[in-house]
Amino acid sequence: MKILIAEDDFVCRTLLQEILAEHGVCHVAVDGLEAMEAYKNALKDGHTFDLICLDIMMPGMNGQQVLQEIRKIEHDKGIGGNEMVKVIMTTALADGKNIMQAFIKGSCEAYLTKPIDKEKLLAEIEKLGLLEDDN
Amino acid sequence: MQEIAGENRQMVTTLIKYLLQEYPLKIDEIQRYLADKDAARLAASAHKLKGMIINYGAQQAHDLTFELERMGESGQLEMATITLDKLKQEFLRIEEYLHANDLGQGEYNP
Repeated sequence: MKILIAEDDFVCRTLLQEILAEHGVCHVAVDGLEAMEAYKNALKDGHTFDLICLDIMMPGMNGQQVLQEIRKIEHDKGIGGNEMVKVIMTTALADGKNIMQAFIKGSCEAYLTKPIDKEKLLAEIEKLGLLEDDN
Repeated sequence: MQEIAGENRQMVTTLIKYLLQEYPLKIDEIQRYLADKDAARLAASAHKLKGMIINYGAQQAHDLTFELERMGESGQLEMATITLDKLKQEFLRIEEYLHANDLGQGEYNP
């Protein structure tokens, strides 16, 4: 599994990497702009990410903007259904408005509130069918 | 954090050192924005500190940063000095606890 962790907080980033490194190859982005660049580069290389863990509040370009941009690119390129990258939004906010915006406008697959809970994260990834070949 | 990094002692030490070096900088930043009455930046800075501290299970510090964030978002900074003072005290308590338990000693070198 190819994973992008887009997170501006060093601690969250490190913990996400620690959890996910067992399940795939992790790439990291420290803000929204870097995340977009990583996504576009992966697309250009013909091997896009299977999963993006996307923080909502990041400098430069926030997680919702990144998500909308990714979905727009996928739409423009005719990428649909299972070919679309799976996105899990993460946020320190128990903020319904932000999360609902992400679900409705950008259609992310799931969201998690911080602190990151290993079991919950892996359960979400399993629900997305991305842990099937791990064993 | 313990659940995720529990067996990785090196990671735990790294993250504690990071906290000890980073939190005074964030507190200074919040203090500066408060002095400038820059509510938006204060909210953003408090949000960032909150996002960091939540991983350490420091509930009281998390709640105080959340309070500061909300004050910043609403532009109502009248009580922010008091909350910030409480937050400083809370961080000192955390630091004392970490030192007393011999956690996070030395320089942080990523």
